[in-house]
Amino acid sequence: MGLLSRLFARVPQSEAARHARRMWAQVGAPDLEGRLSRVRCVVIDTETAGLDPYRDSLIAIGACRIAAGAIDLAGTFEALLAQDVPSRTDNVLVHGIGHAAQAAGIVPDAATAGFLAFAGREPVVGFHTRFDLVVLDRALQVHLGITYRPPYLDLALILPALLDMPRAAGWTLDDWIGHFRLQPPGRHSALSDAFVTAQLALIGFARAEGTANDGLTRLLALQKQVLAERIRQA
Amino acid sequence: MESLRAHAPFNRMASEDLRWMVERLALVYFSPDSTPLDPDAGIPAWLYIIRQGAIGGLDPGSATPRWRLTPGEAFPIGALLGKRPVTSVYRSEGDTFCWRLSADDFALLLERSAPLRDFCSHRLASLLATSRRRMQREMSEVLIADPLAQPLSELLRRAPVSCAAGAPLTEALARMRAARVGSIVVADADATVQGIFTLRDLRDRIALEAVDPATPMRHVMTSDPVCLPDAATALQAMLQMAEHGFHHVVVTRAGKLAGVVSEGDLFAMRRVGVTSISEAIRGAEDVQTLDRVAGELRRLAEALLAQGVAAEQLTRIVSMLNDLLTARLVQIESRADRIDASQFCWLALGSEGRHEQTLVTDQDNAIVFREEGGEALRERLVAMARRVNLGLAACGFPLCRGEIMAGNPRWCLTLAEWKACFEQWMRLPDGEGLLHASIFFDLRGSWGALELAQGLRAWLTAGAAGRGVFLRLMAENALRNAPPLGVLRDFTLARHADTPDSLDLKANGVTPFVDAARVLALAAGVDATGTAERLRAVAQVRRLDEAEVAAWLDAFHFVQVLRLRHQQTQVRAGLAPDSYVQPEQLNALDRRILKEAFRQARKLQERLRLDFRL
Repeated sequence: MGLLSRLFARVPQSEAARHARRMWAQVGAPDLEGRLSRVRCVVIDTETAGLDPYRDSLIAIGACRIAAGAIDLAGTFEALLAQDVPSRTDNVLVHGIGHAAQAAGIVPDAATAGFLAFAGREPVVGFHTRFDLVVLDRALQVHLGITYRPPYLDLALILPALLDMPRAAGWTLDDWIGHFRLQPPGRHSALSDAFVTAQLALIGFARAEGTANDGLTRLLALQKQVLAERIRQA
Repeated sequence: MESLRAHAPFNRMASEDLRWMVERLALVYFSPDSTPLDPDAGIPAWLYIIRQGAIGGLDPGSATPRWRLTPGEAFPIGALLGKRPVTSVYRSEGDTFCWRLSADDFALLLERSAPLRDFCSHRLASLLATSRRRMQREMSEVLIADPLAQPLSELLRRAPVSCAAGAPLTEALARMRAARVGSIVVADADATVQGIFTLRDLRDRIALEAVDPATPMRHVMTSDPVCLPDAATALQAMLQMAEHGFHHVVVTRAGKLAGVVSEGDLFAMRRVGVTSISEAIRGAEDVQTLDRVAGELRRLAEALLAQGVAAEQLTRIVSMLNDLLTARLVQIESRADRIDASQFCWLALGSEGRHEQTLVTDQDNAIVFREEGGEALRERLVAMARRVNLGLAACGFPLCRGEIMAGNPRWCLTLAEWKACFEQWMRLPDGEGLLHASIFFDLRGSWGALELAQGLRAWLTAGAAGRGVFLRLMAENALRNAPPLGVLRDFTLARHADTPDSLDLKANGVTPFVDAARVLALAAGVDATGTAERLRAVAQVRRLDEAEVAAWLDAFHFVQVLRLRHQQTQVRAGLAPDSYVQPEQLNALDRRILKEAFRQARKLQERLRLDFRL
C-alpha cells in the first residue's frame, strides 16, 4: 500500500475499528527511561502469507510481555486472522497453519483491535522486528485506520553486540535457540516464537544490566550504531 | 502446563489448580553464576520452578555446591513455608530459566491443593509413595501378570524318572515309589521318549484289568505321549492337559527327555509362598533339593517386590529364608559328621547378620564353639563347615573372596578366642582390624547353640561403647564412602572396568547408612544388628528427632529397593546381578528420590561428624 492509496483509503467504519480508534487516542506515550530491570515491553512475532511484508497478508499474531524482568504467562496474546483468500501452499509448510485453520480464524478487525489493546504504545521487541511491524502497521491501517509505529528493538541486530558475539551477526532465531538450548513451548506458532524471542530478550537484558547499555534508550542508541555500521559495510 | 505435568508434585495436582498456578507464573532468567537467593536477602518473595538449567546450593562462604536442583524442581520450599530466609546460597549453573510464583500465590495454592500440601510437608515420603506405586505397576506388568508365561524349563524340578520299555511293571512302580512321583517316562538308552505311565494308568489299566505285575512296560504304557519342548510355556502345557484330559506332559530338550511337568506343578506355581518355601527347606535332605528351593526363593523375592512389599520386610524375608536354608545345610552336614549341635553356633555376619540380604549375597559366616571340645572339635567343625560353604556356593551364594567363612580355621574360634580377637581389633585398630570389625560386629547366631552367639554379642555391646579411639576410627572410615552429589552429571560415577559411568548403589548408597548405623549403635550400647533397628534404637537412646530418623530410614530403604529391582532386572535378563546402575536409565522420579536419599545419607554422616568431631 503506497502513500497515495493510504491517503485516499477510506477510514474503516466497523464497530471494532471505531472503538479501537477511541481507545488508541487515550493511550499515553511509553516510558523508555529507567533501568532494564524495570522495563515494560511487548515481544511480538507474526506469521504472514509470504515473505514480502509490503504485500503479503497477516495470518497470525503472537505476543507476550516482559515486565520487571519476567515473562508473564497470563499476559500473552495470540490471534489467527480469518483469511478471504488462503495463502499460498508453500508458506503453509513453513508456519504450519493450514487453509482450514486460516479461514476459521478471528475476523481481522477484532484480531488487530485485540492486539492493540494488548500492546498499547509499549516499546516492541522482536527478531527482525521491522518485518513484523511493517506487516502489523499495514493490517492496523486497513482494518482499524490506525498508524502503528512504536519504538522497537530488534534482537537480531543488538544481541551479537550485547553478548559480544560478532560471529552471530547473521544468526537466525533457530540458531539462537540452539545456542542457548531454549525450549520453545511449541514449534512455529507466532506465540511460541514470541515466547522464545522473549527468553532471548531476557538473556540480552541480563547481560546489559549494570553496564553502559542498561536502559531502553541506551539499547535503542546501540541499535542505531549497529545499523549504521551495517549500512557502512554494505 | 504439559512440561510441568511431567514432574512431582505437579503431576498429582488437580487440573484446575495447576491451571490456576500456571496463570500466575512468570518466566525469569538467571545468567550463569548469578545468585537468585541468598541468606542475606530476607524472607523470599517467590517460589521458583526450574524450567531450564540448574541451581546449585552452597554453604555461605563456600565455593562448591552441596546439592543441585534440575528442571522440574522447586525452591525454596522450606524457607517459604517457614517464612524465613534461606540458609544456603542459591547459584545458577549455566543459562537458567525458572518459572516464578509469588509467595502469596504459593500460600493460596497450598490451601487449594492437598497433593501440593502433602508434597511440601513430606517431600521424601510423598516421592517414595509415588515411586512405589509406579514400581508396583511396572513390575506387575512385566513379571507377575502371567506366571503361566514361564518356560517349562523353569518348572522342571528334578531329573526325570524313567525306565526302559522292556522293564517289568513292578520295577517301574518301585522307581515311582522311591522317587515319590506320580508318573514314569519310558525311554530308550539315548533318552528318546517312547511312552509314559502314570498312577492313573495303574488304577485304570492294571488294577481294574488285573494285569500281571511282570508285564513289560511297552505293553502297559501310553505310547507316543504328548511332548512339549522345554521352551514352551506353562500355559501351553496347561492347555494340552485340558485338551487331552491328562495330568502330565513330557518335556523334551533337543528331542530328548528333559523331564515331566504335572498339573500339580502348574498349580503350585500360583502359590509359591513363604510358608511353602520354609517347609520345603525344612524337609530338604540334600544340597540338590536346597538348590532347587533357593531358585524358588528368588522367584518369591521377585513376586514380593512386585507386590510392593517394603524393602525392610523384603530383605528380612529373604534373609530369614537364606538363614533357614543355611541352617538346614549346617544341620544336614553336622549330623552327617555326628557333631552335637549344642557344641557350636553358626554365625551369620555382614549383610546376613544384619538381615539385609539382596539377591547378590556372598557368604560371610563363622563359627563359635565350646572350649571343652578343644582342637579336635575345631578340626571336625572346620571340615564340616567347608562342606557347608561349598554347598551354599552350589545354592547360589558365592564363596567369600576374603575367605571370611566358617570353613577357614581362622574364623572357627572358641568364645574366649573371639573375645581376644575382637579385643585386639578394638585396642589396636589398624586397617584390617577395622575392615573385619565392620563385618564381624554385625554377627548374629543362626544355628546351633545360639546362647554362644548371644554371649559374644552381649560382651561386644557392653565393651564397645567405651572404646573412644576405635569408634572414632570406625566413624572416620564410615565417612569415606561419601554419597554422590546431586544429579545425573554430578553423580560420582564408579570407575568399574566392566560398568563404566555407573553408580554404585552399594558403596555410595547403602554403605554410608550401614556404616554410620553400626558406629552409632556401638557407641550408644545398642545391641541390634539391622541398620534400621540400630538407627531406631539409637534414636530412642539419644532422643533424636523422630522425623529426622524416619527420613534416614526411608532413604535407606529406597536405595535398597532400587538395588533389588536392578538386580532382578539383571537376573531376568540372564546377567549376573550387581549394584551398578546407569543413572540415565533411572526414571526422573527415581533419580530425584535417589538424590534426596543421598542428601539424607549426607545428613546422617553429618551427625557422625558432629558426634566424633571429625
